[in-house]
Amino acid sequence: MKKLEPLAPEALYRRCDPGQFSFTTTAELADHMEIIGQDRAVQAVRFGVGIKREGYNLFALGPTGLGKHTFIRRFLESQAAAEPLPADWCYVNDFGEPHRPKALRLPAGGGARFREDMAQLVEELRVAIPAAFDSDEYRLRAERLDADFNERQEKALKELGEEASRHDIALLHTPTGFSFAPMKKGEVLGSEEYGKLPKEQQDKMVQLVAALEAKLEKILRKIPRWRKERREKHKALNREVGMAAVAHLIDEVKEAYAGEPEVLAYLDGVNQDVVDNVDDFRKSQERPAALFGPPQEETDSLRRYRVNLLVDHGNSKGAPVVFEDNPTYQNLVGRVEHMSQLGTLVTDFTLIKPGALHRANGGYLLIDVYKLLSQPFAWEGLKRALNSRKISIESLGQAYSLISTVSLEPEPIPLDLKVILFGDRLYYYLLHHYDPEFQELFKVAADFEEQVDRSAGNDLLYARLIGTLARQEGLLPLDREAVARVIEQTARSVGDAEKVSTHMESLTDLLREADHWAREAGRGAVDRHAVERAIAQQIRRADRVRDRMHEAILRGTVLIDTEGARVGQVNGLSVLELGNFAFAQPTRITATTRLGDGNVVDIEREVNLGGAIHSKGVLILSAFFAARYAKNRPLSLSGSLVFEQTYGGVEGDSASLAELCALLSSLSAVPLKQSLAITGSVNQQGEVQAIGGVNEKIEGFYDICRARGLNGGQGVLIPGSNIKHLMLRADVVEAVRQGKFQVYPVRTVDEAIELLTGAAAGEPDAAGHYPAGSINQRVSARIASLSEMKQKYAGLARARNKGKEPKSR
Amino acid sequence: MTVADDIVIRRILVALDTSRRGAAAVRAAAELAAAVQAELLGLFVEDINLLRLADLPFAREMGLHSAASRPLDFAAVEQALRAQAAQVERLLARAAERQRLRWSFQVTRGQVVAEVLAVARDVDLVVVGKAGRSIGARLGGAGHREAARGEAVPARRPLVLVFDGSEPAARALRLAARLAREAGKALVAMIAAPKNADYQRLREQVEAVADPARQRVRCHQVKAAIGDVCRGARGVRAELVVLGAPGDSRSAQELVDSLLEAMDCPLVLVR
Repeated sequence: MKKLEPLAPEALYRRCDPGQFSFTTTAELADHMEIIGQDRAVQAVRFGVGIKREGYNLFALGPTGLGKHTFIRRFLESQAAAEPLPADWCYVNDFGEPHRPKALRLPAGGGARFREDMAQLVEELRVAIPAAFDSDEYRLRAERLDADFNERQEKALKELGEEASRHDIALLHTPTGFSFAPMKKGEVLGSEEYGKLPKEQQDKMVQLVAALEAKLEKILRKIPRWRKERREKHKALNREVGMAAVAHLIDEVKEAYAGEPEVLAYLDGVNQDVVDNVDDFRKSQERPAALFGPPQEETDSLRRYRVNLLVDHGNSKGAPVVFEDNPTYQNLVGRVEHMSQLGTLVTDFTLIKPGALHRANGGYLLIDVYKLLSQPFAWEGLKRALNSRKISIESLGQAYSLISTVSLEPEPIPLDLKVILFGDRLYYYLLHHYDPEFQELFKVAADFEEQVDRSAGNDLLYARLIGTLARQEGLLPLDREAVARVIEQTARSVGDAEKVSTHMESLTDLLREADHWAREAGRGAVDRHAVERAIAQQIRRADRVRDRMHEAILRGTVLIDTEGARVGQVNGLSVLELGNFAFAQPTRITATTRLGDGNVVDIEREVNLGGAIHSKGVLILSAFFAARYAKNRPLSLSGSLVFEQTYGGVEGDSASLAELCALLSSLSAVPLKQSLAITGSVNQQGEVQAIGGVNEKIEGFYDICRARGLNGGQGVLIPGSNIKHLMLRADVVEAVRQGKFQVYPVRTVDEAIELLTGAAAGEPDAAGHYPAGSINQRVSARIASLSEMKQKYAGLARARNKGKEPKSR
Repeated sequence: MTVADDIVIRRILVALDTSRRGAAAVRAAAELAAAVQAELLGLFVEDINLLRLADLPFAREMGLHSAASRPLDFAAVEQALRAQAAQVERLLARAAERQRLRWSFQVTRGQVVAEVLAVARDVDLVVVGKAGRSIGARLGGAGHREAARGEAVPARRPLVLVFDGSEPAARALRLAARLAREAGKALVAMIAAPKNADYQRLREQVEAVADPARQRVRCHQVKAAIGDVCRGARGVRAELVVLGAPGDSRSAQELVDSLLEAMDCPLVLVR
C-alpha cells in the first residue's frame, strides 16, 4: 500500500508576492479607470452602444456590485459627450383640439428661448391690444356703428311718429313697450272725451291706431335684425383692429423661427386665436383676490399661450445619459398632473411633466431591471415606448377607469434612445424565456464576469484599481503588503486560488473597513495588519450562528467524534451560507447494510429532506457497488444512509464519497478513523470529483479539532481536483506547517478508504480477485455471501410454494 | 356749504326713471350731494299721459322686444308704474346710504317735465336722469354696452357745460368748473353764441372761472342753441351735462324736453 502524502503548507494558500510590486503605497500608482477582466462584456457594450439599429438595446447581466453601472455610465458619458445634442421638446396648446396638446420640436436651447418669446409676446399683446381698442380711431368707428343703428331705428320710429301726429296721434312709451294715443292739445285724450265723440270718429280712430300698430310691428320686427347686423359689424371691427394690433407682433416672433415650419404653423394658430379672443386681452388687469384655491397668476384664458418646456437641452453637452433610480410608470413615460380648483380636478397642457424617456431621448437611459419589474406597468410602458418608438403620455388612472376627470391626450413624441438594463443573470434568462418581446428589444447582452485570472499582470492592474478606489473614496493609500493581502482575500472570496474577484462592492467595503482600522491605529497608510483586522471583523460580525453550531458540537449536543475509529460511521462536511457569510461544520454520516435487493436507501430522501442531486449521488453508489462487486450476480445488498442530527434539507453530492466510505466500512466491518473528515463526490468508477466550498469545509473541521485539541492525526480528505481552490486561513496553514493537521488530496475511493481505515484497498488480479485481507476483498466476500444467502432463501421459498400448489388449485 | 362763493346748495332734486340713465343720475346726484353735503330729493313722476291712454277702450301696447300687440289696461299700467317707483326708490336709498346722505323720495302724477320743474322750484340743483321720449335712447343701450365692453377709463368722459352768459349759466359754470377740477375730468364748455364776438367774450368768462392753466378746458361755439348742444354732448361722450335753468318755466320745459330727447347722460340743472 502506497502511503498518500498530505499537502504541503504551500499548496494550501497561494500568496500574492508583495515583492512583485515596485511601489511603496498605492498613492504612487496611476489611476486605473478601466474595468478589469471584463473583455466579453466590454466588447458587448461597445457593440451595443455603437450599433444604431432598432432593438439593439443592452442588458448588462451579472450580480450586483460588479461595477457594471459605474463602468457603463463612465463609458456612455465619454461616448455621449461627442454625440450631437438632441432637440428640445415643448408642449403647446392645440387651439383646434385643446385636449390634445401639440408637441413642438426645437433645436437644443431653442425651447427656453421660445418659451421666453411667447411670454414676451403675451405681455406685449396685453399692452398693444387694449391700446388699439382705446384708440380714438376704434372708439369713433364703434360709436359710428351705434349711431348708425340708433339713427336707423330712430328714423323709422320718427317717421312713424310723424305720420301718427298728422292724425293727432302720439307714439308713447309704456313701461313695457309702445302705444299709440289720440292727442288733443298736447295731452292724451281722456276716456270721457273719447266717449263723447261720434261713433264714426271713434271707429276711424280705432282703425287708424290699428293701421299704425301694424306699421310699428313691422319696424319692431326689423330691429333684432338690425341689432344683429350691428353686432356683426362690431365683431368685424374688433377683428380688424385686433388683427392690426396682433399681426406685426406675431410676425416679429415668426421671423425668429423661420426655419421651424411647425412653430410657424403654431404661431399662425396663435394669431388666429388671439384675434378671435381679443376680449381676453382687454379685461382689466386687476382681479379680485381668489377666495378659494391658489392665487391665480394670470387670467386662465391667457394660460393657453404658454409654452410647457418639457425637455431643455440648453445647458447640456452632448447626448444625455440618464439613470432612472425610481422607474415607476409615470417616472418613465411622464404624467399629466391635475390641480384642484374649487374641489374639482382640472388640467391643461402646462401640467404635462416629462418622464425619464423624455429626458434621455436622443441619448441613453439606464435602469435597474429589478426595480423596473417591481413597478406596476413600468415594464409594459417601457416596451410599448420602445416598440412604437414614441412616448405617449397616458394616465394609468384613466386607462383603468380608476379616476374620472378631465384629462389630456398629448401628441406622442418620437423616441430615439438606447436603454441599458442592469440586473442579475436570472432576470435576463427569465425575461428571455417568458417575454417574447424581450429578445426583440434587448438584442445585446453584456455578461459580466465575477472573477478574473490571477497573474502577475493582473495583480498590478488590481493594485492600480485598489489605489484608484482608495483615492475615489478618500481612503488612506495601501502599502504593498496590504495590496497583496487584499488580492489574496478576493481570491478567497471567489473560492479559487487562481482567480480574483471582480466584485467591486465587496472590494470597496474591505478597503473602507481596512482604512477605518488603519486610522484607528494611527497609521498613515493601510497595512497588512489593517486588512487582516478588517477581514476578521467582517467574519466576527457575521459568525454568531457558526459559533452556536460549533458550540453544540463541542458540548456534545451534536455528536461528532474526532478521535477513535467506528464501523459504518464517517465525518462528512456540510457548508451553510447565511447572508454573505459561508461556513462549514462536520456532520456524522452513518451507513448500515443487510440482505436486500440491491438498493441503497437514502433516508434523507425518504423523508423529503434530500434534494435531487443528493439522491443522484446515492443512486450512483448502488451502481458503483453493482459494477465493482457484483458484475456477474445479482446485488443482494440493502444499505441505509443517514446524515445524523440534521434537521433541515441536505442538497448536493459532495458527501457521496463519505457515504461510500461508510458503506464500505459497514460491509467490510473495518472501522473508519474519526480523526479525519472527508468531502468529495464520486462517480460510478469510484473516481473522486471536485466539490464547492472546500476552504470552508476544511476550516470547519479544523475549528472543531482545534477546540478539542489537535492530536496530530487529524485532517481532511479533499478531492485532488480541488487543490487549486485552496486559500485556507493562516491558522490552518500554520497548523499544517507544524504537522498538527493534514489535508489529503484523494483521486479515487480506494485512496480515501485506505487513509480512513489504514488498511489496503486492494487491487484485483487478472481473475478479478482481490488480495486477501484487503478492504475490497472483504466487501466482495460479504456481497457474495449476501448473494448466496439470497439464493438459499429463494430456493426455500420455491420449495414451500411447490408444496402448496395442488391445494391452491 | 358753498360750491363757489355765491352758490349755496342745500337740496338736490333727482328726477328718475328705471332706465340706465336713471342709475347714472342717482350716482351723479349722490356724489354731488356728498361733495356739498346737501340733502337728496328723489322724484318719480307717474306719466299722466300713460294712465289716460290706458283708460281708453281701444288702448293697446306693442311689446318692445316681442313686437306683439296686447291690450293695455289701467290697472296694469298703474301697477307697472308703482313697481318702477319702488325700484327707483331702492336705487336712491342704496346710493344715499352709501354716501350717508339725508334723503327723501316722492311720487307725483302728471305731465313729466312740468312736474319735475314744479318740484324743482324749491331746490338749488336738479339732476335729471330720465329717458326722454326718444325710443332710440331706450333701444340703443345694449349696443352701446357691447362697444364699450372692456373699456378701461370712464374717467376720461368729460363734463359738459352749456353756457350762454345768463345768471343761472354763470352758476352752472362755477359748479361745473369745480366738479371737473375735483374729479380730474376735462370740462367741455358749449358756448351758445351765434356771433363770434359774443363767443370770445363768453369764452373769456368761462376761462376766468375754469382756468385752462389749472384744469383741462375746451370751448366750443354753438350757434343754433339746443340741437347742437345735444350733438356736441353725445360726440364727446359726456358723463354729465351741466346747464343753468332758464328763468321762465315754459322755456325751461322746452329745453329739458328736447335735451332729454336727444341725450344719453344725466342732466344737471342749476337754478
